[in-house]
Amino acid sequence: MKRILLMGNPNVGKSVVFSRLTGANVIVSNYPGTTVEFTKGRMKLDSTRAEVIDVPGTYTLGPTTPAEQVATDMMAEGDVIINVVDATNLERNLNLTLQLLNSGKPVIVALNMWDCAEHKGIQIDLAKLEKRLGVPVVPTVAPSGEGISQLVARLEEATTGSIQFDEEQRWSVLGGIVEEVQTVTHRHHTFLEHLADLSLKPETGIPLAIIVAFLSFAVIRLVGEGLIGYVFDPFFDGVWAPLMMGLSGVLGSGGFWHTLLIGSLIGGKIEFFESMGLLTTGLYVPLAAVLPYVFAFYLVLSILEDVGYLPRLGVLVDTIFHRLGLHGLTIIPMALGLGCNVPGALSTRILETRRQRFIAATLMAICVPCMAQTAMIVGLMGQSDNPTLGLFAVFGTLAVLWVVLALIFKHALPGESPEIFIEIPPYRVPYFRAVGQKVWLRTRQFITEAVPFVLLGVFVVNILYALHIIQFLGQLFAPIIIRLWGLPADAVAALLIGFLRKDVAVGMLAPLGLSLKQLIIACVMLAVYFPCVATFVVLLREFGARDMAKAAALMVVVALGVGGLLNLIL
Amino acid sequence: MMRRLAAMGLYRGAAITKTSSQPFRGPVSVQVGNTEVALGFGLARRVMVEVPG
Repeated sequence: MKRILLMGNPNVGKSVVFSRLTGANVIVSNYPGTTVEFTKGRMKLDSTRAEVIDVPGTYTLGPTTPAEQVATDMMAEGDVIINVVDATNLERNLNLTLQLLNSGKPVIVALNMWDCAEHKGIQIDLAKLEKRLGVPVVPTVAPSGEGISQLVARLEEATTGSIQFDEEQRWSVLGGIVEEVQTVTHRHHTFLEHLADLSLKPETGIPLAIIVAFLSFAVIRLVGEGLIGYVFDPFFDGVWAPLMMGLSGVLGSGGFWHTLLIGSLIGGKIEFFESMGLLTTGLYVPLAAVLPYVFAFYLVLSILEDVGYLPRLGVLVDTIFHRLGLHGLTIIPMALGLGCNVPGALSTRILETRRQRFIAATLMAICVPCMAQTAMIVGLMGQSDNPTLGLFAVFGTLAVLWVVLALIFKHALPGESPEIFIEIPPYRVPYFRAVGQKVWLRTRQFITEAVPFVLLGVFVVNILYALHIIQFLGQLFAPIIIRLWGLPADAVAALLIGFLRKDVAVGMLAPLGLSLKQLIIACVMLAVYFPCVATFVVLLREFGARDMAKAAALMVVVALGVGGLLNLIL
Repeated sequence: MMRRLAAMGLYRGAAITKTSSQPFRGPVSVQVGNTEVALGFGLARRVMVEVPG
């Protein structure tokens, strides 16, 4: 089978071309480094099937970052290279093209972002460019699919090119080509470009960042609460609860199936947070309590990503982050981690050194609660006597802990944090379809991957209670849980389930009748003591058993220390 | 490092324009062709520029 490699600079739209060619859905954003691992897909090519590989973006073939290393290694395995080129950035992109042409593999150039180039007043003489490079050049607008069919049709024309040059002369050869084929008409700054400048200049950028943060928060709350209040709660209370009560009557209370499916009735009624049945709590927690917030969060994140805001935020926070021993771009794993720690952990690959990646991943795993957990904490605190104070205490503690741990890492782990060095993409108006698709993809991922784990969690709780394991562990860990943290022994069940799903674990605190202080301690403990199994597996794969053992030891120490401290001072 | 800078278009002799700088020795951003690049302070101050006359 023919292997087609999609190669090009970071953030030129390779993944969009990939989705167009294969029909596969992949996450694309407007910042360099979204694709850190290669993605494979299949496409039809004159009745035969070909394999398409979306290679992480690279500026050169001399590998300088882990992602570029992957790209260079992949080169050997391809039969044809589709070189995706950003038409608005011809010179820098053709630098890679020239290197690809020198590699001896057949190349075809997709001149992507053709529409943006036109808007920017950049005209490129296609015929001349083709002649100079000696390979086919096809203009494309990947998000709308323009030019993709021509690209496929001309794929077999891909050749090794005819351009001859001395490696030393590459930049001057390049300059010559660009001068020959490109004409730029001068025009005024667009609104987006002004906004782009303003959001990077500190005097306007910092206020803007604060506004963006507040707006994001407000939109997430509005959409999340709106969906729960007007769609999910009415459905679960009005339709699902009576249905389940009917089922409860049929099953007869107290039996095995009743306990498993419906759980326990509280005051003769189903309480979705507390009943702990597969069909009650097991469905309500992921679908009604968490999903609306997950959806809202990804809506906001996806828009910010596609506009191109995140790298700017990375530059703005870089000064402060470097004082903490971190790189400004660490903001990206943290932002993604607020949604789910799994993609957060994977996105640490945009950082250059292993040390940085380890610090970022560990900080995230300990101090950044995922949206599922956050939604449940908000829900749980909402039932306490002072929700605002409780939420401030929980998230404030996590934020302080984040800073303290970063400083400890800075001094304890040998090594420097390399300076920021990143391309800042222009602001783009997000394609409505692309954002919609991305939100759908991430939300679907949550439904297919998280919901089974929630059900498993609820199932395991029932089994553990039935086998008296929870009671046993409660006694075993009583010194820590009761004396050190000031929590009831039953909280051990939540900690146990927290290994599986943090949202279910937070939900399990509801029936314990905790005081505000206990709620705060329990929520913080659930966030810091250990990552959920999905995150843990990814971290283990990324960093290996030895480093994970260190991180796990740190988590235990932090949990013991912070829990004890909170119990003392609150 | 020179190679990485060059790969982003910051090669010897390239024309650049500074677009922003963060206070307290924070990153500096420059425009090279149609690319905007952010550089850490230490890196940026090692970039030698000649003001065109």
